[in-house]
Amino acid sequence: MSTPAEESGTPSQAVEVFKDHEKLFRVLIENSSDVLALVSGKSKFIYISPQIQKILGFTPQELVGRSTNDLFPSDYSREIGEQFRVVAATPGLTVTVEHPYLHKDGSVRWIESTITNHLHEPAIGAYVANFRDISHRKHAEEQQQVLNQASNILTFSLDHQITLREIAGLIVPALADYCRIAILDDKQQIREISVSHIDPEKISLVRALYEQYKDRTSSTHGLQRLLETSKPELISSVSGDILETVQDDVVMLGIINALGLQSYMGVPLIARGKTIGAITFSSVQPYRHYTGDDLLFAGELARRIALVLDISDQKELERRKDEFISMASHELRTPVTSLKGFTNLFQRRLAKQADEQALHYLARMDAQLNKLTKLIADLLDVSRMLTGKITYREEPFDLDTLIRETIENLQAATPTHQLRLEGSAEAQVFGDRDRIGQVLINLITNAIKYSPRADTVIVRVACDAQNVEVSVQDFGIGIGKEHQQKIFERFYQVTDPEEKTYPGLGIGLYLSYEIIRRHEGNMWVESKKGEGATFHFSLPLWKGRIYNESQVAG
Amino acid sequence: MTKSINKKILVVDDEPDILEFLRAILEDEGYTVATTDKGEYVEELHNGGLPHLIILDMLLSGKDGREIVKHLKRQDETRHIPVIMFSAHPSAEAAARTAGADDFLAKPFEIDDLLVKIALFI
Repeated sequence: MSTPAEESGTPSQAVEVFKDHEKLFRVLIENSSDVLALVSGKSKFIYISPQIQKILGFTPQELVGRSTNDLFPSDYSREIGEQFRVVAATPGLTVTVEHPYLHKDGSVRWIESTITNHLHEPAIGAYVANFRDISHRKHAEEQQQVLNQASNILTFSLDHQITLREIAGLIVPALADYCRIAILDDKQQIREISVSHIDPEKISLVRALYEQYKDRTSSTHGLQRLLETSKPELISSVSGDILETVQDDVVMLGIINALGLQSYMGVPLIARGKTIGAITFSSVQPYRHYTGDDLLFAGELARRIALVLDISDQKELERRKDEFISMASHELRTPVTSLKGFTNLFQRRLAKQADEQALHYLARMDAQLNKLTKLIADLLDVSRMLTGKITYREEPFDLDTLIRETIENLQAATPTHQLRLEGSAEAQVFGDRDRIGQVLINLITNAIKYSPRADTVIVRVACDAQNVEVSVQDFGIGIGKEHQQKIFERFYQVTDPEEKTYPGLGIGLYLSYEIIRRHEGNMWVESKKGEGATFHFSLPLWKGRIYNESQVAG
Repeated sequence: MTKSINKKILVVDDEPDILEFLRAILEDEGYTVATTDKGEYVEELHNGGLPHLIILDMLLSGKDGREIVKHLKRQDETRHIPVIMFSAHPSAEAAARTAGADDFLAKPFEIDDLLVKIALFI
């Protein structure tokens, strides 16, 4: 407990502070656009100027005597405390700190505080603080940051479904608690919807609602309306009047209630005058109400997304490119089929004559033909991936069986290395079994290929409540730090200082990375040059219900 | 090898090299082999000269392999003949099976894989 002299935050104590020229000071302080405050050594407000009500909603009477800590959002306290400790420890020190404070309504305001430690001065015996509301600036900074991140996502956009999911994941929670992105197809039907909600339970709830009333959904507001009118809309406060206009609409009311909708805005995605989709932003926070400014920002975001999604022109080009690659891979496979056939014929005939050396050469030839075949298949896959044409099966499968089978098959063809399996998943994952198998084959064959002097490759499997992690460790040449992120890029090749390249790494890893990402997983590598490499990937465990954030409509 | 004797296999492909190595290998295995690059030939098959198995390319010049297999599976006298389709489009398997093919092989393939498949049918 503190002493009464130190802690008394009564107005009479505050008056003491101004005993000379009281009127003048009071006028100066109370008319300043900044808030001035005196804070005790125990962090309690002794005095705070009335301006505070404009910023935080509290009257001075409501705050005097309370701890400044009450105003910090729970998730910021520790970090802010660290900054204030420096001031507390240094008499006379002045610092300026940017920090969040809670408004009376529960929303977060950003404050720039200039605090001076006057505890040691007998006449003051307090911290003198000056607060300025910088929420507007912070908001603009946050928006800029979201735009930058969105631009990053869009720049590297290859697969539209992944792009939309990542954009939705960015909008929630930065700008909204709930967000839907719809894309139209050539026939103006909704082709794809990406949904993100701060509370994943609600995604399925809302989806079920929309599904149930799909054809009856009112077009007074929301996606349908945006797609029909191509005009942005803003309902700053989903209050009585709005609820009244939709009161006959059971669906809309149901959705609004289920979501606890407080504020809403939506913008169309327009590319060269044509509406190709729409985004909606919904807030369930009582204090987040969208403004005209926010709508302008949403429009800018939509403009950038539309630019990337505008593929109507590119579509034809992509279709022709895909057709070409598909034809080219067919044309390449035909001569390889003959080469392989004659090689096999030769092998069978020579086997009868037991010509060991010739058989050895033929086996090498055959192995190279198999590599060529895989390369052609990978090229076709990359092409399909770029045009979003790879289709993935979506079904739960047992990961342990897949890993065991893959290791057995590869072990049968690998005389040089022992493939060791440690751990198990004892769980199912959801997706395309063959494609995940392709990832395992890629990682294990790479591990064998790049550890020519080692004799072991270890495959480890481990699970937590949410994810399964599979790692493939080799004891080979390793990968330098400078290459570790880039090796997942398309066609990247590691070139070492002696200019010796390791060809073939590019496509397989890129494909694997994309496949894992498409399954909502992650892939990364740990390695030191000369000490081998461990490639990891993680996949979400199948929980027995559909929880993925993207769906294909219709 | 003796068990293969008198088993007749018809190979249909428009690539002469593929016909040639398949003939050599299948004959080495003891099968009697007929080859053709004309899809029409298959549709004119009638009793007397029927093969025990047909290996059929999916994309023949001038003729869709799927139409041929559909035709074969429609006729009473040819319905029972197993048809293995192969294609250099690895994704063609579903289409081949839908058309009525009994099995599918992606080109290029291991000869051993083909021989195993043949042995399963005849």
